[in-house]
Amino acid sequence: MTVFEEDARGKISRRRLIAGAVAAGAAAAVPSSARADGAAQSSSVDVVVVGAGFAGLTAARKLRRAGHSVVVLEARERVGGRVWNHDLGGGTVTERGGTFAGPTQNRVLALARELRVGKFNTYDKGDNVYVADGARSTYSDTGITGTAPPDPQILGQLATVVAELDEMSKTVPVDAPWKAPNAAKWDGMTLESFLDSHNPTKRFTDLVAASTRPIFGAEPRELSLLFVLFYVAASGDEKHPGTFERNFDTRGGAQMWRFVGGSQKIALRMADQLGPRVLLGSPVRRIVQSRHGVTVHTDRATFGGKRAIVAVPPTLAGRIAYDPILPFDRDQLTQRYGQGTLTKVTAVYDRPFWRDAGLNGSALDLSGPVNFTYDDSPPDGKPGIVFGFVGGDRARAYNRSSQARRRAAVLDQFATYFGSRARKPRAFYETSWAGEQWTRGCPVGIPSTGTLVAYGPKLRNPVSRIHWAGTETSTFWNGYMDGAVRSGERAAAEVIARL
Amino acid sequence: MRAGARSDRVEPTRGVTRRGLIAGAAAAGTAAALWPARADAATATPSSADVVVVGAGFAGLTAAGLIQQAGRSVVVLEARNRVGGRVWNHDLGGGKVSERGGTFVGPTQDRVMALANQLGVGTFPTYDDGDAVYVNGSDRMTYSDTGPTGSAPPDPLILPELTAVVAELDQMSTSVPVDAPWTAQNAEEWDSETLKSWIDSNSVTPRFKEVVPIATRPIFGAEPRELSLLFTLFYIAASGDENNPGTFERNFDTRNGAQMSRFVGGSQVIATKIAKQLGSGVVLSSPVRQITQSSSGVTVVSDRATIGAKQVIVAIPPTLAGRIDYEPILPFQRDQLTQRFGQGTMTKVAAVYKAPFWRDAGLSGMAVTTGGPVTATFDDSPQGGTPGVIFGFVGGDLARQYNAMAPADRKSAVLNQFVTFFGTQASNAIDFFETSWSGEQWTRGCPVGIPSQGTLLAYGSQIRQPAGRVHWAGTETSTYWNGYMDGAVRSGERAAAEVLSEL
Repeated sequence: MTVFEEDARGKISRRRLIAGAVAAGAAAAVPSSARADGAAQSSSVDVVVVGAGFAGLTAARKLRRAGHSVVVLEARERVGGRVWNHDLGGGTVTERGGTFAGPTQNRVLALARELRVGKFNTYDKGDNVYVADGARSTYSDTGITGTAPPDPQILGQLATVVAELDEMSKTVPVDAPWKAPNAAKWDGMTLESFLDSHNPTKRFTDLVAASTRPIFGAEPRELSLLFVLFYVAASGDEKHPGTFERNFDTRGGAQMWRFVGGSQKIALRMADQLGPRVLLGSPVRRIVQSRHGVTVHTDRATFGGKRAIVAVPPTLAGRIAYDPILPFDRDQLTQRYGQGTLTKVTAVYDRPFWRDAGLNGSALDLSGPVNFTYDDSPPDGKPGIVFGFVGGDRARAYNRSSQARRRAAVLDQFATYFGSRARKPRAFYETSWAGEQWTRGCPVGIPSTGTLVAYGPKLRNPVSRIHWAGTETSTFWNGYMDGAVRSGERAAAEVIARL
Repeated sequence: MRAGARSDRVEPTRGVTRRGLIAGAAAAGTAAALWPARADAATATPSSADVVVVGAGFAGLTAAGLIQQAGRSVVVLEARNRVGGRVWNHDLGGGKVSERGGTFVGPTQDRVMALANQLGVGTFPTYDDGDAVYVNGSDRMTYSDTGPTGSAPPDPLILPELTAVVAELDQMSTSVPVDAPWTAQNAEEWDSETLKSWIDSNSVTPRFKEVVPIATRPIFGAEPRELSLLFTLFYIAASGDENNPGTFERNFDTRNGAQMSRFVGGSQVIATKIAKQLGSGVVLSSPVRQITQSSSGVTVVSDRATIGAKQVIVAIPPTLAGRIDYEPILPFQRDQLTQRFGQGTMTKVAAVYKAPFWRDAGLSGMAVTTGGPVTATFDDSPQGGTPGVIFGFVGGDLARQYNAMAPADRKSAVLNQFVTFFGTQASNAIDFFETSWSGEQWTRGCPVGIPSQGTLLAYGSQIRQPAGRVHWAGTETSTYWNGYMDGAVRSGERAAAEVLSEL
């Protein structure tokens, strides 16, 4: 590859150094390309992948295996996207973003196996803690409600509504929720309106919000009922219809396992295999299509390809300048697909002391800021780690208070669940995903009411040579690492069939 | 590649490095490499000004005009090769024009009226003699808009319900503060349900539910399922001014309502007159890509010019404002607001005739229908009535279906409707043109941006709140006549005042 870096007037940034090293490494792998205008490096590949999250890396790897040349352009200085290890020192890590895997998440599990990334059980011995209206109780998730609390005040309503949602979700095709017989009706109402029609008790509506905040990073009022039903339907695989329980549970559900070395290790291994084909610090600004191919522009470099896969959240895909512009319906889709609002907070202790008290580290709290916690300690339990989800209105309120108050509020909650030792962590950190420039919100993009019905098919429909990936485009485990992997596989197959 | 190895975040340090790089190279190198070269780069454009305004629609131009009048220097950067934004004249030849976008003005739209007055742009009444047409299925009736329902059709099958629902919406809207709808007493409840859910739980007649989109498709470019009840109530409350509380009727009516008058020469003439006063201070065909803030000022990078300024006003729809690259990034609340604020879906279609023949038949040119693709029409003939022009609004689901049709099928579907409304002569159009506002790169949908469920409650206050030296204008930021030309002008006045107080 011929590289022409513009003169940066003597300023050498870390990014330049990385780019330089990468370019040198790529020289052997990529055929030389024509001189550009002297202002940017330029090269040509079969497929340009935008985004080095699980979706983009999976797609790139699959394309490589099929014998096609690729480049992956990543805005951040790291790979993994919404999956990000946090280094605790001494070789131990914990997760700032996507953490768990569970049954029917077949594609991410297969990928991990292939990459020799092991899995282990999320710590789930002993009882869960439940806090409602200031009252603390404990329960076992081996009971009939699973991870949901068997609160006698709401048990009947919980069972009824969950059964109803599961039943309704069966009529929602995961590959086309807009074709459900009741699609227009369900996409015309919020989850909150649906609940209101059941005359719920306040405690039950509080419980529902305590669930939608971790699952979606949103309040029930922000969610189209159709989207919620799709999400339930997507919590399964081709052989196992999705259920709310499989989504919500740890035991037998989506929080059952964790990856040895932290979930980001899967992305790091894929990136290692792709080597210099992954370029960091390279936000894509513009994609030009012609009859012959695509040209993808980053701040300082240009890449020609036959096709492009854009594997970033819809709202960020919509910020790229496309030339020619995309069909209006694709653009309007991305205008109506905001990312959820989620902050993950973590406290690190010398050891997982809650285990001694017969607690598994999971707590469900109807108040806030944290609504849900998990034990996120490494496999050997050293150190002990609890993380909590702060989502929706709670995340918005949380971000308004000072750092010291935030920490105190969270640790107060942790002390209620696990005892006063929880007040003295050796480390405390938080990850505000809505504030992450290259994600803009977690865990998932959420279409507004009416959007699936109006523009749903545009999620995956390629626009000529541009294909779409990312967990939001997945038919199963949408919003999860597994969905990202599935979307990468699907997009790669789409492209391979056309190369 | 050392992903995951960092134990703490070093964004600020890296941000400075990156910013330095961009500041040094953007104008000459990066932007030139990334965006198509403009051989006609604006040599007359200064490299600095007190204020940069992004967008030469009514909001941006109003703001720029006021800043210039206050003796401050200002540069307006516009992406299109014309000014006016959602307001755009269509040349009919012979000095006659029609409007592709914003057209009408009415009582309480005080600021756009004052501006037109000041610029010497006159108004004339929208043609409103004779009857309006209402078509529901195979039923066609005519009615006078001087009746108690105004422009809404007095369909006898739904009349009591129509009257009751409009009265209730008006009443509810009086409790929604236009400057902070999220503080309404019932804000949480109303932002939790769609207009459709509310209608479903308050409506007794299936036929009434069919009539509701007659209002939402032209007004919002949306279906009732896409609208938060709180936003709908805010929109009604905003259909007034400081002295006259908003009402649905003032929004929807022609007679004494928002469609009452038109501007001589076409509405865009207001924009072109301000632009003329600003002269070389308006740079066309120069989309803004990046805004960098520091403690001492802002740098605005556009395709044809990079300009340093003390303050910047971004006067474009929220969804487009969200696509600019801000350094440092905006607070997440502001960003999440723009992620949840899609533009409506609206195509405006127009047929031109030698003469406004419908007038001879005692028709005003206004028609509303539960059918489609067109939901509502207006007489848009130039003052004097030659040629005759009828335009129609195709919005929401109908706009989405319409855009999937072949051009010839679209035209015949529209003209067939016009024949039903106005008679067989309507098939003899001498010209037919359509404007798909969702397909407009620098608008992305009309008439207005629509916050999704819960967005006003969660992030509403971000709509006007400056982010450092970045101020926000555009009709979506207006407290009155949000979504209208008047709202755009009001927002430009407010943003200019904000900026001038900080210079």
